[in-house]
Amino acid sequence: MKFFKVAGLSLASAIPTLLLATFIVFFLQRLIPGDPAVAIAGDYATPENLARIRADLGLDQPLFAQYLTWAGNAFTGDLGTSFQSGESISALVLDRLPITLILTTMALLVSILIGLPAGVLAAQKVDTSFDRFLTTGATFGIAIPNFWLGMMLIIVFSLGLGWFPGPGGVRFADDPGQAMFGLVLPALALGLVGAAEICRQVRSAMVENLSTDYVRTHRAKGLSNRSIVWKHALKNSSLPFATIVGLQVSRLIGGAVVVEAVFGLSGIGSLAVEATNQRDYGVIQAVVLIAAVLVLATNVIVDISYRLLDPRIS
Amino acid sequence: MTALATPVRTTVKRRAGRFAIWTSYAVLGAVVLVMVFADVLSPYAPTKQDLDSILLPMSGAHPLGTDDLGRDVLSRMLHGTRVSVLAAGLAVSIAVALGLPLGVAAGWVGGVVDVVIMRIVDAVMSFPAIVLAIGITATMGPNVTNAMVAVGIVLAPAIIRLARAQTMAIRSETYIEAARSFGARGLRRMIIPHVLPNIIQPVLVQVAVLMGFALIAEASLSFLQLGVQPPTASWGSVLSRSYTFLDQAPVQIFIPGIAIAATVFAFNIIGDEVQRLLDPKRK
Amino acid sequence: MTTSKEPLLSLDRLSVRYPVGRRKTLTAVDGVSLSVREGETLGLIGESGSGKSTVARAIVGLAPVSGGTVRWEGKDVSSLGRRERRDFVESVQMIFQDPHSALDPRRTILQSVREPMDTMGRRKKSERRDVAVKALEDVGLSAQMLDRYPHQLSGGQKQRANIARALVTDPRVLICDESVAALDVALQAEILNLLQDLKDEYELTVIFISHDLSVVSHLADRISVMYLGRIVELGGTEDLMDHTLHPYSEALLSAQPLVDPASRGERIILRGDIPSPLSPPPGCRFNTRCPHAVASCRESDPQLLTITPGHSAACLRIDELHGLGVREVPT
Repeated sequence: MKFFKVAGLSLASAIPTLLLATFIVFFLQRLIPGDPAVAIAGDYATPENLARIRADLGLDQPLFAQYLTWAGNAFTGDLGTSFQSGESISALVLDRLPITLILTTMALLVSILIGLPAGVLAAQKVDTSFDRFLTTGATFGIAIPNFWLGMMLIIVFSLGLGWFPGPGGVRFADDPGQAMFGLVLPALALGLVGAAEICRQVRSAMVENLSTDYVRTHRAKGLSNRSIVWKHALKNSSLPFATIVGLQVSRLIGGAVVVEAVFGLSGIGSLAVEATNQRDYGVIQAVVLIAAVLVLATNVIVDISYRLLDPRIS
Repeated sequence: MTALATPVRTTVKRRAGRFAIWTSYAVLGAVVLVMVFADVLSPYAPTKQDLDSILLPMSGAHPLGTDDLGRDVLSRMLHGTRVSVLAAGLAVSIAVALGLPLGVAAGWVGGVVDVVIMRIVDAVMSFPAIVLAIGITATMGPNVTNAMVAVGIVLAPAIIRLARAQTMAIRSETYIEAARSFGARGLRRMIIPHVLPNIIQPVLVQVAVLMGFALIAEASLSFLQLGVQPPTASWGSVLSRSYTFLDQAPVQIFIPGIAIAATVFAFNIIGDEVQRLLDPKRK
Repeated sequence: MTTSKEPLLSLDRLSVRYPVGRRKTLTAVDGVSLSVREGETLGLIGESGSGKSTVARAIVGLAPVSGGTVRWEGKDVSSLGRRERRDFVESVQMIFQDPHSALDPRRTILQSVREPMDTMGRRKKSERRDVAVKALEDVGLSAQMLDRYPHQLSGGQKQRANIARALVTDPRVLICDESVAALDVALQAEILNLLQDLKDEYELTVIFISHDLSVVSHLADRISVMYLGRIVELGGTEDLMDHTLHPYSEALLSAQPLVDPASRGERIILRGDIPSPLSPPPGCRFNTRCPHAVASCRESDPQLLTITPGHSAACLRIDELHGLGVREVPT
């Protein structure tokens, strides 16, 4: 099976990066100024408390041993316990992850559904005023902070028109339908900025493609413009498109963290913010690690589609 | 002169539009002026509280109204310009200070050095930039310097990749070989006089783009209260503050957002334009 | 010309190999031995891919020496002490093929021309500018050019600046690697005349590398013909032109545009391209294209042998083709 071989190759090539990424996450702990135990327990902690925290963190162990223990636990799904709530961090993250995933997926859909056609249209009318309008618009779109766009959407659509619920969404457990509805505005806020980016990049990939010799040959053969643009040129832009989408996922996950804060959604982003305020370093580490795993997983998918799409890469 | 001016003008006409480009220059010019003259232009001190006049709408006395502590929003925005842009500048400087030497080293030395540096770059790039910045800032302690150091670290891979690619491209140029043939080696005789000047232009273009990114990052982190700390004003912290009183003073949310978007837009347009002007294929 | 002295610069079975991929190696120069006498102009000719430029690059340290030695005044340059090494680098200067890319586009002409002195810490800082100005004058560039950038100069001016840069360290050997190939014909003549003048004025020894036999024969005292990393024929210019020994040299010679078409025989058209140095043919390397090749040419590898005094060639069939008695003395 070609697919499994390809998938195996892609996964294997992501492993060294994943290992290095876990190193980075682990060493985040080392950035804690002063004694991490004091930082966690506060200045008035009893000596016994400090000793317990040190033992828990393994701070009495050599550094590399600490890493191995931590990474080993992380691979088995044990991300430690929260110092604030005493809960399992894995459980906390798993509880919050679905919202972030759904939000990111919706935003990705928005950005592709708007960005891709816009980019193709701009490329088709390259150097016309329509193209200039779209490109300038897209450049402006990239410049808009997504969380600010979220605030604007709230002001207009929930405070002004009352079409959507305000910030502080409904939990999925309570009412899934209403909860999904509450994700529309945040997904738009995230996705519109992404659409601007995709539009720009699809445009430049398509412009390059449309000026190649084989497209000119197709034109000479009398193929309709529509079939040239949508079938041939777009197909040949699929590799750059996969790269763009891969990058976009990373951006969207990052953006989700901030947008969640704006809309009061309880995803992993707001978990990280709460953890920061409570100096719950284990939770912060876990969120950073999960985000990297998500991005790496996307990269593997992009890599697999590369290898399947392009016969030259084997 | 005319021979030189003609192609420039046509490209300006054909791409982003002359209007967008002149607007961008105007925006950046205004930003610089505000940074320099913030004290003169501000009607009040940015941290001066007046609890008798909180959350006022726009008026002659307070052109942009006041916030929940009665501070003049215009004065805070003007001073915030300085804080935000300097913070972004700090982040980009750190990115360049880290990225340029590492990128040139990877591209020039190659081999194991290149493999190690690029592996680390891949690993750093596997984190969503903002998330890693939050992680670093949250751990080091939330303040604007830490936040911008974090953003600088997160942006460095972009510079590393670019500097590496550029360095590899010029490594086999004849002028580099010529210099080697008469014994030019090392930092002082090769890298500084020959390599850096020939790779720096695209890096400068990238700096403009990264300035935009850093401004948004500052706003994001300050909005999450990880960046600029009260009572200091920055675009992000003004936004953060006014969002708490969203329903009472929606106008105050417009202003910082537009300031950020306009400045980032200007940086991107100027970056694009400079890149086009530098493109040898343009001739 | 007195040639009894120790050669100034000599190559002893010099080889340059590059690793290609994991297992293959590319042999660009394969056991080349050559000596350059003080004061002479040695021409090195061959097609692209013959390894002639790699020989030059190996001499100045731009290509790795994988076998054999480069000797300077009899000493192996790889074992020179620091001071001797500097002396060698100063004494052997190279002028590159493409004048447009040989000057750093971000440095002024003055900066480029004085750079060899700056790099090697030669002369007092205050004198370097004067030396650079003098060198620029010698190549016919006025002081106005000092502060210009390469893109503000014409191709000929750039090549003059390149030559000036090679002169500021008072070199004894000048290696010209296709130094006029990128210029148009009128400029070529100008630069060649300039080189000739400079050779006299600076008392230079010149190694002139070119694919163009007419250019080389015009300048060189001796000519060495290279094919696929080896020297196939070496001799005094007149001797080599009049009594060409190797079939490859004959082919090169016959390809020259002639002033008097009646004076030479038919053109010899070489079949095919020069074989890849990744997999050179067995036996004589020229056998795949040689009009005189026989079965033995595909089996034994001919050595470079002295045929007449000062004239050697590497061909198995030299006896049959030229009716000359071969003296079995390896050069």
